[in-house]
Amino acid sequence: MKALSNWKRIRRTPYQTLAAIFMIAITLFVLSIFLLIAAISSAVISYFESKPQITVFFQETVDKSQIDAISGRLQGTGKVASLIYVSKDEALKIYQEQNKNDPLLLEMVTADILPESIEVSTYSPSQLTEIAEILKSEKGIDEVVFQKDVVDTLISWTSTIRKMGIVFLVFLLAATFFILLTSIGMKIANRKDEIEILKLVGATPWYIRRPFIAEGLAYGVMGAFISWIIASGIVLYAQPYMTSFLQGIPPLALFSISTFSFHIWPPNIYLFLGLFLTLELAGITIGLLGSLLAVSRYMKYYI
Amino acid sequence: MIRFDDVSKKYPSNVIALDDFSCTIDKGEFVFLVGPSGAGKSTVLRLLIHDLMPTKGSIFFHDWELNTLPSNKVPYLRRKIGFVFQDFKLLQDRTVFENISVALEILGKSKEEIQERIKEILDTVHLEKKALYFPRQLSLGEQQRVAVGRAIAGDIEVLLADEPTGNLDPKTSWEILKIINEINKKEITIIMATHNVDIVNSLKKRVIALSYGKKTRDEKKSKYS
Repeated sequence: MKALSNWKRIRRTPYQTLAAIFMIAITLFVLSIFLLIAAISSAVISYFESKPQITVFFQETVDKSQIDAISGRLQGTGKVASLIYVSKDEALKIYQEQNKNDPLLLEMVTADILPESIEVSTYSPSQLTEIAEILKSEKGIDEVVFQKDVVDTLISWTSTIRKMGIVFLVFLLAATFFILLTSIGMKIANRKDEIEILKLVGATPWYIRRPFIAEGLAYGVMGAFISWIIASGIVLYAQPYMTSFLQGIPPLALFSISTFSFHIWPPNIYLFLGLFLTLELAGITIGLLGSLLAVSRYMKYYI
Repeated sequence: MIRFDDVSKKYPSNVIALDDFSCTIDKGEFVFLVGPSGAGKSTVLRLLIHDLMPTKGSIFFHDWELNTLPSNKVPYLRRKIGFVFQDFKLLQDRTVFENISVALEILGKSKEEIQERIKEILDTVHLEKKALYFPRQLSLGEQQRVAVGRAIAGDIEVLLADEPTGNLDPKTSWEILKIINEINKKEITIIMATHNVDIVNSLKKRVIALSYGKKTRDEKKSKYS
């Protein structure tokens, strides 16, 4: 058994093996793209969700004391999580930062023409309507902007992508399992003489199964590695386009543990490392499950 | 050590291969199973390694009752019982060394232990110089000796041989028998199913004769018929 290593056996039947490895690679590649889109979009959504939910712009005629009074009334409801006042000067700074590459736009604008505003967040989205009701009855308000509309659009997009991704992945996973099953099943059938002898001399069923399971695992590890290379290549290739698409949005953190935060965008070592570990884990799971399935299915005839 | 108590075996095709067969075989005995083809000789041997289950009766190996032996114990039963076939059952893509090594690797022995043990075995079966040959490079007699070597490689107490000389000429058959007799001298019980009248008559060992699944004779120091 040991005399013929897995590697030798893989070399002797390269086509079946390659089919199994590539199928795992394709499945995991689709999985990785799907995971990346899901992670980036959820980070984008949580970024927008962390932004103030309502921005209230005031008319020119309104002075600071009136704004303070309105702010006071809003906070008096007990539903306001945070409330930030943005003065004309601060508004100008934000404007200058956003348009720093366009001197013409900068020249035309002074602090005077920009409105004062307050940015309000509530504890839960359902409280937004109550705040909106209050704002309706107040005087001196020019415009009220809800972030909710932006977030809703994003959520509906991502849920569509998620559903399509899951359906696609289920099909690919099924195909992968069938290919693993036939590929390992054929190998078991090809070695039935050896299996018969092993049984006769008293090998335990696990001793006989082990090399086949190891082979499935090897397929998983190799398939995952190939998919990682392709997915990483695509991430690096897409970086310039994505950067312009995500302009104005700070580095996206998927999660944070104390001082370390796992940034999903822009691409960094942790992103690739996380992707690698995820794909290897998925590859090992697929290889293990597929070979266990094959072994329990085909060994019945030989063990 | 081995006991058959009223054992019957009926195949699904309703052929009765063994009919109320009883016998006791002690440690170190040498037993010939004789009888025409289809008399039930192979069935007796296959029942002993739990390859077949009896339809009726019980079979004991030491205090293991094979009918109720849990399937996870079967490998350990087989490690105590070596088996030699008429058609050798060697792996054609492995060398002599590798063919014998299979029986030792499953026991989890180290490389050094395996090498040492195989050297001893090749000595016993007179194949010292053929370790790296493939089965097709060997004569039939040599191939059967490899099979015997594999069967005794582990720590066995019983050697079962099913027509081991069936494919061999008389001279080669005698070579195999000499080796099996040597193995028997090491207190290993031998049960050999055979048609070979000459061998049975000249060795004068215990003979159990079967006919249509029934035991017709069981005599010590006996002859073929």
